[in-house]
Amino acid sequence: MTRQSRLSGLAALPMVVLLGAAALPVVFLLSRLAVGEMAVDGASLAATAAFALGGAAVATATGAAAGITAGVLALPAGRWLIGAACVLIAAPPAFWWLGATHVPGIPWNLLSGLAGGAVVAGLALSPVPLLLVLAALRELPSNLYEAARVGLRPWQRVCFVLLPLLRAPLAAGFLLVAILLLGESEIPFLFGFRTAMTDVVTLFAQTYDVTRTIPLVVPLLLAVLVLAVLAGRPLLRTILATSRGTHGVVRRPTSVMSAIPATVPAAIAAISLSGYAAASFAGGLPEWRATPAIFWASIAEAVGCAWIALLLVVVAAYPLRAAPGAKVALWIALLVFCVPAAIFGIGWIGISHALGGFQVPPLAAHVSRAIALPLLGFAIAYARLPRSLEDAARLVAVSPLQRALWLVLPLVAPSLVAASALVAALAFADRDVASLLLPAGGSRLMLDLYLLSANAPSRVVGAAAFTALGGAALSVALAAAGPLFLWRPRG
Amino acid sequence: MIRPVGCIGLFAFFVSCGQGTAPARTGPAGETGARSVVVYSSADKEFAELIFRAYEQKTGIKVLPLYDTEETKTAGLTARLVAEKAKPRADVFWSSDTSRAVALVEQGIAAAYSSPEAAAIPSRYKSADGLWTGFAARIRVVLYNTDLVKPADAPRSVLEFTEARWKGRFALANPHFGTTSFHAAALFVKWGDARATRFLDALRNNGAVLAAGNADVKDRVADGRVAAGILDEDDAVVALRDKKPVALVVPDQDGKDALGTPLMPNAAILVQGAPHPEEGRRFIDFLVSAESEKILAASDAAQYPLHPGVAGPALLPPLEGIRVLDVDYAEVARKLPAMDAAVKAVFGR
Repeated sequence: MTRQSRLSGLAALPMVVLLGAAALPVVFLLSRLAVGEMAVDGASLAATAAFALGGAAVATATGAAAGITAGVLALPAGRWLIGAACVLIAAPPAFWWLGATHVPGIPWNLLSGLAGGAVVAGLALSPVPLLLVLAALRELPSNLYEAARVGLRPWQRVCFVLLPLLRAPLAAGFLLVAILLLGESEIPFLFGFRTAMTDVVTLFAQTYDVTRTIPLVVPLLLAVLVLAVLAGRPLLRTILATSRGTHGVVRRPTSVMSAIPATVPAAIAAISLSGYAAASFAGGLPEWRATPAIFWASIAEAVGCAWIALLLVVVAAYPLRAAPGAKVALWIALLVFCVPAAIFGIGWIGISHALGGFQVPPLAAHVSRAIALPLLGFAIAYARLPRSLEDAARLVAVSPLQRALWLVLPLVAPSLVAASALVAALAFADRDVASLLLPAGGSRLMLDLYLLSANAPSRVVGAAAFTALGGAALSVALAAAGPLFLWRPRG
Repeated sequence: MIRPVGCIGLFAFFVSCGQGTAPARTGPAGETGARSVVVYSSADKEFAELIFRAYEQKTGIKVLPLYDTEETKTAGLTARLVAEKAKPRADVFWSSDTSRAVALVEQGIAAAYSSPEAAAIPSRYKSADGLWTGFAARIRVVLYNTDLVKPADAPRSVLEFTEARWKGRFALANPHFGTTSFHAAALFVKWGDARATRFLDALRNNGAVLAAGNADVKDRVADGRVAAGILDEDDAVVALRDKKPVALVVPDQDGKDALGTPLMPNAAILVQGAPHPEEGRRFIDFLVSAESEKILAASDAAQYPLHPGVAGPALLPPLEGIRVLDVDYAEVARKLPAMDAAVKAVFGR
């Protein structure tokens, strides 16, 4: 073995350890299938597929329409609209549905069953394709679209120019939403239909036995991993793309009517929040129940999770940044991230039982699942750095550590900030891991909200929803502040 | 390096905060620093917290609760208690479903404790050897939407939901979980497996909507997604107090041979091998006391006290006037596996 290959191996070691630890619950679950003699149960896969694919179609259509509108037209308050749409990501679809049901006078009973659930979940997840479409539009060569403006009508430009060019983000958005919906149990429970995920949750609740749950977990896990493999390539092509044109699509002023598609996701958030607001004042003033301990524990967990994930990824990914193995690591992390949180929780419980019943902290489960996001953030930002910049920096007499802290990390910081914020938002919004792994006496705002929504008066539920949203906003801000504070670019 | 060090300190703070409130550490002799009791509770958080707060104020002992979700009511925590049997983490199980608690007793999860506070509770609502103690009971009711159903057309019996006029217009919670499982298992005891299975089959064929839980049944009736539903009286009372367009009926009361409606006391169990047994006993004393029943009766929980002389919930008819489905709780508990299997066969889940 040459010195060079030994050094490469050493550089890859932190990443191998990190990915190995992150994938542990998934490997554990799959290994249980291998050691047992269990018939795989795929009875509800058809309904699951209909829900996931139907919801993904709704999300992609809504998100693409909003993204294209916001991407090619200069909308009044366009950034605010996109920002408001992104609020939907800060909480699971059931949160938005529960809020909307408090809006008086709307016949929500028309939305029922599998179709209703797919529409609601799809609308709530529409920011995923929206953001991917927007990102892709920024990288399109501006001359191409400008040329199309000359000879084609708007709908022709969308159908014959934009949609073909946006195939990768649309495919990635569709598949990502489908993956998220495969792991969704709350909406199927609320809309009264059964999916593979509700089967997993139900059986695990009845038995608390990981081995007995495996026949239900494995088909779901395999379906998710297959979709993740399919989503990986278009996703990476979209977000790792380097600009082929100069400025992306040039936005042109438009009429208010043309802007309507871009307002849909933001309107959904607004409707739901107005429902919670109405609930808060139903029969009196809002009644705040969250204790400071739960409020701060929820925030601390989300922020701690984001920072730990970020630090681990930076330590593991930096030595590998220019190596071919970096892309392999990214793929593995993405596959792990696509595994539903509840299955991750069940996997950790299985590991805990196998090792004598120690208590796995929810934070460990969140971090292990979420490392893909900072890894992706790092990869996106590093791919955009000119290689010559780092080569030039090598000529300066500073240590590699100083070069990392003073040059590279400040330059990739914006992307790490976004990743950190997203990890915090996802950890904060979780209910599955919290309900599976929290010790007695522990609680989280989002879990509390679901427990309260069963029987608490509306004004308590409304207040709890706003407390949770406030906590989410604070978590995201603090999570983003960490890398910004450490690695802000120096003038 | 001041900035990174400061960040690491802040980070360490967040990590330590992120673990939440862990149970008080127990020393070798079972002594704790700050005294606490770990309570697994399948009672709704909203109502259980009333008792926990009152107990903490009265004794200074911290209650560390663990709840289950609406979708996996009671069964989730009972499965967890069984899984933790070798190394229990809970001191007390407060079950909102009597049958699940009694089933746990038969699996050796309960330690004997006859609380002096439960002396006045009738013997049929507690185990003779102190393995479980019933308190604060609920009944099953039918809730209907008054915008969709006239009072004269309201269902008077759960059997009516097999009739064509209710096709696809009624909801019940998943019978694998919570008090719906008690109700279903009680029918299996009363009617026998064959007739009860036929009834479940008839409900399914008549388009029964399986909701996420009793609270979800209440929401569906209240907003008109279904016309009526079978649920617990506490969920129904929440809708009534929220001034929703609903009314409730105590089912199966008419006629000499009326079936009656199930009466389901909460049940308190001291967990065998509990980490804090003394605190557990003290908590059970409070939980099954007349004081606790009074709190639960007066609140939205609207539960019927089992201590004589304690006033019942204001919005409900007095317990004395209600015909109760007469079943033995131990028999109901023993029927749960057969009922679960029938539900899976009928509803496919």
